[in-house]
Amino acid sequence: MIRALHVSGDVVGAPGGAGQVTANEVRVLQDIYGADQVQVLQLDDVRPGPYAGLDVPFIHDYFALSKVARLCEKQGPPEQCHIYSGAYTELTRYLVNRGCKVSHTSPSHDRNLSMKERGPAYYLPHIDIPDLWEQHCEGLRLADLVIVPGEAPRRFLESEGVKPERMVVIPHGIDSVPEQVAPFPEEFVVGYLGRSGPDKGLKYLIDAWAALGWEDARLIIAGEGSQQWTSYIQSRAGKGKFCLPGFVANVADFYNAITVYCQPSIAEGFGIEIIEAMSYGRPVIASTGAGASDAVVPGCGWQVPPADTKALANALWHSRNHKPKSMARKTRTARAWATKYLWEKIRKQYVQVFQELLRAH
Amino acid sequence: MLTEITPYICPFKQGDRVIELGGGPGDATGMPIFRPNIDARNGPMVDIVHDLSKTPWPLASSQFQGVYSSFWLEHVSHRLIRNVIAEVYRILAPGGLAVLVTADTWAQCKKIVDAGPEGMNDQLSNMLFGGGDYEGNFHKAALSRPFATRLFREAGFWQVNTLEHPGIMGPNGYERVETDFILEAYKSAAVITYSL
Repeated sequence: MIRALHVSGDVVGAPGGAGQVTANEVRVLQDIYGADQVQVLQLDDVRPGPYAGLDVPFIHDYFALSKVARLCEKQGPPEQCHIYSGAYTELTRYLVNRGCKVSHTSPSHDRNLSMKERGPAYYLPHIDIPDLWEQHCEGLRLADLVIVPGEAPRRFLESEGVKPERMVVIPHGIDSVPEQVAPFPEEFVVGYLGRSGPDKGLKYLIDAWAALGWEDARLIIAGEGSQQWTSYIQSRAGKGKFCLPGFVANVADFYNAITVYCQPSIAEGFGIEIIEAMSYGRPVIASTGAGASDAVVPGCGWQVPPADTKALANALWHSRNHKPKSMARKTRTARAWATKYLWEKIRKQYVQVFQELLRAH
Repeated sequence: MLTEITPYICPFKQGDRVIELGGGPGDATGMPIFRPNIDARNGPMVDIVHDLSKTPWPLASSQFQGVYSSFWLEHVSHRLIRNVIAEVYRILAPGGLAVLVTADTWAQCKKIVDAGPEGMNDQLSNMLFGGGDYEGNFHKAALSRPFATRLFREAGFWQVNTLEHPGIMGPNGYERVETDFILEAYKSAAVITYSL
């Protein structure tokens, strides 16, 4: 008997933000219902072989719905279905109509900012086509509960008609806080880790770095595909030191190699690297476009508006000219604050809101 | 050729290794200023004989601090011009500078329009289409200062300046040449590494 479903278009447990969030969400459901009563539908289930090249979210919805409908015919609807990201409007409608409690985790990007930044070269149909966007949002409006990872996505979804009383902010988490903090590197090093998509605002960070023109400091842009910034740097920066290592196998090496972490995202659901960097005792410069910027309190870093080269340059300058004593204090605050985001604590928040949701049955 | 650029001082630094593109064989049809000189025609002042419209050039990457050419770029077909600009970028060392004196086709056309149909003459044909006295001496690409700037920016140059051609000494003294311009294109000296 399947009592709970977890649906996503990601690979549960894969390295990276979505893989870790889905793994912990599945674990929460398994803790509540028992592992044998939870069915997980993930990437291969909702985007089978012949459609692997088509990353259209509504295809995920179709295949997920077809599988869930067969399950319901066999045993009746499950008690709960939790959906991570994506567009599962028809699945949500089908289950809600059958009395199943449906919750979503929606690390939504601000659509307007995102479209402005991406331009036509990065076409995402469910975001760019108004009808599909409306359909996508309808799925969230139909759900019994929408979990958002930060204030930025909460504000945005409220503006899209998701009722505030159906939304709850639960941040994403980290597995552990390293026991020891590595000393800062001798030279001043600023780092970014993550994908290199246009929503990440990296061109503003590169422009800010180029404007500062420091020849005795280094900017590391790490994460799969970061080498794509080579030509942009060559065409925008007269001088300066840049490091584009691409995929980093051991993230501890990355965090230990930097002085300050910078997340310049234009629109980002969360940005787990902000919390990871804090756990390694690194002060953070975070754009308020990232959900996780909520965590960057004054004692452990600097918040800047998204898409603002001048503000980024200013924050970088300040972080470099901070007194060592003050930097040490920021290190301690950042680590202490990061412990609030341990998955073991975040999972308890999930359990609590899921139980409240089920009590409303 | 030398008198044409005397008032403009190329901002190459002392000791920079500078290559001249299409500097000519070293006779009345073309006299290079910098060596090595690479040209399609052989001659006493040609160090490397190569048709520059054929890429890649037989030159290693990042080996020159300077690239210079005088009235060469407009002789490259507009179909190939992006390829040759990419080669200029490739052979320059980080922080290197390319200085290219070239024709401003837009200004030439304006001059022709200003002359009116009655004012057309051999000199204007020569200006627009090139000397035509040997195989390579024909203009094959139309440039303007903004278009040339865009081409060099697209090739990766981080800073591109265009300057008025300072003029040449003619029978009536020093005359400005508004139909030509000088382009300076800087290759970034940003240090890019690929490992932590």
